[in-house]
Formats: sequence, structure tokens, C-alpha cells
Amino acid sequence: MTAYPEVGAALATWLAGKLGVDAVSVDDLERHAEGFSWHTYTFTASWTDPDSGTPVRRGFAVRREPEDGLLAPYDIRKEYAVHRAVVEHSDVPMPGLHWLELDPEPLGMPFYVMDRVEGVVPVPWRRDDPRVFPDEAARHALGVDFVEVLARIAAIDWKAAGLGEVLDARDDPEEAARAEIEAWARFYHDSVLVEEPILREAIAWLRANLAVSGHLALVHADYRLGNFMVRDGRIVAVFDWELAHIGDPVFDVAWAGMPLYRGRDPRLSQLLEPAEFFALYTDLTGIPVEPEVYKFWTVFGHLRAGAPYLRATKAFEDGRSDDVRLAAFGHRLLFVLKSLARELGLRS
Amino acid sequence: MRQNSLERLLAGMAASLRDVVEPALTDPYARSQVQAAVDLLRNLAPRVEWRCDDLLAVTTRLRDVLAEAVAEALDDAAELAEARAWLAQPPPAPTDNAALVAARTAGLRALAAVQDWAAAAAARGDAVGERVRERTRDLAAWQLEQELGRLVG
Repeated sequence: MTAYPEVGAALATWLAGKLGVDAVSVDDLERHAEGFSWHTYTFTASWTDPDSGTPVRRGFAVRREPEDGLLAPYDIRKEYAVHRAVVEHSDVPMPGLHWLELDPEPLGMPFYVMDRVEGVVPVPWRRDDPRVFPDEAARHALGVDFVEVLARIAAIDWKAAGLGEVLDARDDPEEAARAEIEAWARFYHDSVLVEEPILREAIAWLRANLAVSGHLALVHADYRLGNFMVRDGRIVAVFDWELAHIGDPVFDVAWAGMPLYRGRDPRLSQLLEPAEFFALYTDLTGIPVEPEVYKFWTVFGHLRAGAPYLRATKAFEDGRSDDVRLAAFGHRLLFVLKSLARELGLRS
Repeated sequence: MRQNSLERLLAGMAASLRDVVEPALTDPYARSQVQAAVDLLRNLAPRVEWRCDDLLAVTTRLRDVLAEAVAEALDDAAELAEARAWLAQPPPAPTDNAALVAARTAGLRALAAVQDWAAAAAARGDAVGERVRERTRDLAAWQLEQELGRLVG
């Protein structure tokens, strides 16, 4: 017996068709409730190999497109293409990728299937999780690994991987940054119910203080605690590529250092001191982390973090959801604004 | 917190407790607590409102900043039209909650347009734009402190 019996039954039928076998049994089905958008399920599938007659058991993960959410609208084909490109064109640790299903019939919305990866996902609010951080040496070693994996993402030949077209890439780094500002300014404008003057000020500041590294790379855009899995002290999978784009790779560094994800800990993502992080990143990528560029992307990161909170409160106000967690983003936004005000010199 | 209307917050909390939390509970005492909370939330709705003194403080500040922006600006920028229209309205009575909420929301929308105008003017080296921008920045900082002063947890 499994939770979500309808999902389990639908997956069993669908998977049998994909594998070309008579029957598949689905067990250990779990829905992972950490996120507010994509539905992620993991399960164990069992079937009999039609050629050898031997039993097979294998763990899978399903990522299902949401009907609505903080970052709607969604495009599963884009996320699948990015996942595939990263798997095929890098040694970034990723779950093995299987099928993309665009037909909404089996699970209500399109989804794709990948390998289930075993490990622990460290999260910002469990800063001393003993499974991940048994001691400070382990934290430091994971921090070094975190930077090394980020450098591998930045090194992906995105043109060769075909991501230029998929991600609608620009050729000029400044133009790409300007396009991002305007895209997120529109997102803010379309989401806000009661104007937030601090975010308006941030948009004006970004337009007046553009600073980029001059490089273009595949940007994960949500690279932080909570979006990767650790086993035996190393990163074994990077998740949540829904915001990936071609842009300034220093954004990923600034995002990893967002106060939202480190609290009062000065270490980026609670892992490495800024000076060590920046030096290692530059050694590995050849991309310097200039203070004005880091600040620019940090201010941008606050807009990027805050605007979806507004989208959540709007979804709640419009009655599209009674999920009170969405409404709670309305007051959580204050923590983003507080930190943003410091960046803009409006708060000591 | 101010993004959502109070009516929607109370109705949504009641709906979540009734439709999501209560059916998941098996303990009768816990279920009775949820039912009572739903009852209270639904009956609070027609009896509570956002604090008038907070709303009045924001609209008063907005009036000062927008009036200064309109008075200082020499051009007839379209971005200031909303501010002019807002200023032309008489201020709401200090106890008229619905009017204060509407004036706060409209005033902040007018301020957003002024912010855009001032930022563009400042970027051109316009001294008036610079001054107005500083005033809008001060207002943004003040308003945030007001909100943070009410923040619990």
C-alpha cells in the first residue's frame, strides 16, 4: 500500500508502457513537499525483465509541472532540455534522465522522469544538520565542493549544448542583464497588489547601476542550500533548474550569498567565507568576482526573491488558492525588504 | 502583510483550517479546536479592520512627498499625472477605514510613478529629480521601519 494511490497506479500503468513490460509495481511513493511549485515524487518500481525473466527494482523521481505557482507560467520542455544538456555536456552531478511526458492525462500535468538519488538535502534552516555537517571540516569541504560544482556549471559550453536557442540567449552580457532587469520588473508589476516602494527603488537602482562581469554562461539561478543533495560529504545531485538561463555567472555567486539563505552567517550559503569563496571561484573559472558586480547581482537577487512572494500573495488574493503559506509570503517579504534596504543604503 | 486584504486573509485561513487541517485530524478534541477557530475567524471578519492610525500615517507622508514632487517638477510629465489626481482628492476622514485603505493603495501607486520619473530625471542629471528621488527613498525607508515595527517573529 502506498500514499497517493491514484498517482501510484497512474505511474505503474504509464511506466509499463514505457518499459514495454506487462506490469510494473510502484512502491515507496513519496511526495516531497518542500517546494511551492513543481510536484516531486520518488518511488521504487519493480518489474520483470522480458528478455531474461529476472526481477528488476529501480528508484525513480518524477518532476511534474504545477498548474500554478510562484513562478508561473512554467515550461517543462525547457527544464527537461536544460537537464539533458547538463547531463550530456558536463560532469555536474545530476540525476540520470529518462522520459519526458507532455500528455497531461497520466498525472494531470506534463512531467518527466529521472533517477532517484540517495542522500540528504541540506536546508538553510537546519544550519547544523549533523548528517551533513558533522564538524566544521566537513562544512568547509562541502563548501569547496559547492564552488567546484558551480565552476563546472559555468564552464558548460552552452552553445555546443544547444542551450542558446532553448534559453533565448543574448550575445551581449550587458544586454542580457538589462533584459533580466526588465523581465523581473514586469514580473513585479504584474504581481504586486499594493506597491512596495523599496522594490521600485531597487528597480531604479539596477537600471542606473548596471555592472556585469562581461561573461555569459549557463546560470543555474537558484544555486543554494536546499537545491542540491549530499552523500558522503559530496554533492551528488543539483536540482531545480527551472530558472536556468544564459547570463552573468556571477549571479550564481551572489545568489549563494543572499542573506535570505545564510541569515547572519557571513559565509556564502553558510559554507565558505566570501574571500575564500571568491578566490576559489576565480581560480577555477577565470572569472573575477568584482565588488560592484557582486553588489549589482545581490540587489537584483532581492528583486528576484521578492517578486515571486508577491505573485504568491496575488494568487491567494485572487482566490486561486487557499494555501495560507502563499499569504504568509506577504509578511515574509519584509525580511527580503529589510535586507534589500541595507544593500540600497536605506538601513544601517 | 498588507498585500492581501484582511477579508481574504481571514476567509482563506478559515478555509484552510476547515478544508485541509480538520479532515486530517482524528482526535476529537483537536477537531473541536479547529472548528472553534474557524468559527472565530469567520466572525472576526465583519468586526476587524487594518489600523486607521497606521494608514493615516502613511497617507499623510505620501501627501507630503507627492505634493513636493508636483510642486518642484517644472515639466508636465505624464508620470506625475496620477500624483496630481491623488492630491486633488480630499484626504479621507481619520476614521474612515475603507477610504484610508483605498487612499493608501492609490497613493503608493502614484508614488511608484513618481519614483520612475525621479529616477529617470536623476539619471539625466536633473537636480529636481535628484531631490525628489531622495524624498521617495526616505519615504520607502520610513515605511519599511513602520512595517518592521509591527513584525512578530
